[in-house]
Amino acid sequence: MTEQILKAVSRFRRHNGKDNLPVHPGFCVLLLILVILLTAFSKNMFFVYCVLAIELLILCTMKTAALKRTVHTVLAAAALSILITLPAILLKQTTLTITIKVIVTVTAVCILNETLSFSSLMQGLSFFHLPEMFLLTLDLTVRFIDELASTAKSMEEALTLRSVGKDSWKTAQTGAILGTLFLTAMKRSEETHEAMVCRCFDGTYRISHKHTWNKTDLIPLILTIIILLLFFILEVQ
Amino acid sequence: MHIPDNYLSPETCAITTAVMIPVWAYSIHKVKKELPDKQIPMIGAGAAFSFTAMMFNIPMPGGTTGHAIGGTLTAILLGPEAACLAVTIALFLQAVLFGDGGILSFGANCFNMAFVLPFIGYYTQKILKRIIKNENISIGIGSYLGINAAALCAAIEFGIQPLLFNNAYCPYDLSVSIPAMMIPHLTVFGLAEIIFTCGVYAFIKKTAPEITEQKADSTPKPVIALLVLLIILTPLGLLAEGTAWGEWGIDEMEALGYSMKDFSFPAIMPDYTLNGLPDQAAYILSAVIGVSLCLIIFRLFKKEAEI
Repeated sequence: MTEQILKAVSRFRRHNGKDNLPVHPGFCVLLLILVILLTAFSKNMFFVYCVLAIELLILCTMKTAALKRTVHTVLAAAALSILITLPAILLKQTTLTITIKVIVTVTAVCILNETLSFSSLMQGLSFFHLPEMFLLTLDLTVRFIDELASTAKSMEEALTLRSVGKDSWKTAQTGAILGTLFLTAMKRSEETHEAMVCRCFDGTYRISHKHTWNKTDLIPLILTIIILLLFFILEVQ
Repeated sequence: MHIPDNYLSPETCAITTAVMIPVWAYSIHKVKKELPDKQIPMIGAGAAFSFTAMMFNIPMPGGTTGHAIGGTLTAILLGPEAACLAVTIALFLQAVLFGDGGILSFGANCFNMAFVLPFIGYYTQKILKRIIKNENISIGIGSYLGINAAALCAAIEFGIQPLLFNNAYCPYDLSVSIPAMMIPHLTVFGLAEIIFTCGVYAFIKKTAPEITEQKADSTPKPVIALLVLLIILTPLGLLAEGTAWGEWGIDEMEALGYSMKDFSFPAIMPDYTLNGLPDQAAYILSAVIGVSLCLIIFRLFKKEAEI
């Protein structure tokens, strides 16, 4: 379990603060929100297939490792969606429309995740003037999950090393691990707060907008225009 | 040449699929063993070329249509085993996403177009290369024999149905199916396959010689440019109206007075179309989705360090 958590959280650390493509994070987040909203609103599958085609073309340009991660995530989401809608599909109440929409939206999220680092993503969210408290909480949560997952893994390893084979008491100790983890989290949060205050934290969460305009910023902008045009031509008219 | 469902008996479908299983296993083993890891995405490019080639329908007198397949091209560039896998993936996407070719008859379609065509095309050009010095002639003859051998297999599969299963499936016997399939393939479609194979091979040899020398790390830009051009041109395939011989729908067969068993698989974009939309736009969209998926699927098999 802890390994799975670590694997998921390691995604946030993967970029090491660097973006795979130097694009304006605000435009990227805007494009993601547009894709998710317009896909959900669309009644015409042609629009959904157009977005899917654009996403597939972007996937073709991605690095193999990033492509594999994206495909695994999208396939898992698609399988879950099929499982949920299976009774309706068997009763011919619905077709694969929901699954295709799930594939489109999850692919969009994965592409954003693979393109931007976590700090850029925070910058992108601040582009929409979200409350500082929300951004600070989100930033700290992600950093803490990573820390706490490592601690939990160490405790689980220590427990495993105490005996060989399957023991029922090991399962019973899960509650103890979670309890210790909670206490550690409390302690760490106090330490973090003290460290922040020592470094002149006055409750203001600052995000520096150092992004300089470059040609690649045009990519999300052009895609946004294309997607909006497609939606208005195919759905509104 | 895409045999739809209901034309072949389940027994015929089962036998052809059973034949294909060791062929697929051998091809995977051979590709893993002999093809360098960095070349694996090139199989995707081969599948993409095959996918687009099959979208260019050519009209024939009598209202039928046909197309090139491009299996020999991939076989010459990467080996017949890689071509077998490339055409298999292209056929799978066509059957599942676009309803082009049946689900039950997938094994039969793969036997004709992913096994017979690339292997005969490849080995013919390989033998001829030793006799004839002109590379284009040996490649042309190889691709021509490959597509005709595949068409003959499809014709035999169609033709034996009324002999073995009392008109429950394809109603035309060998005396009808062989001329109906072979005359267009020996003339127009064979020529189309020669033009496609020799044309694309010459283009690749000139612009991206690293592929013909099997040294390409990734799909070169000229190849991508050619694929984009082919995608843009795919609506030309819509100029040919009518259905290829042996690819009629159940409704078309009933109009001819034949009743057939009705097994149908609901494809996502049947016949590369979407209701209420221009066929040209839907055709280009299908080509983009199909080509992208071909390129993506084979890249998933490339080993690369986690980044």
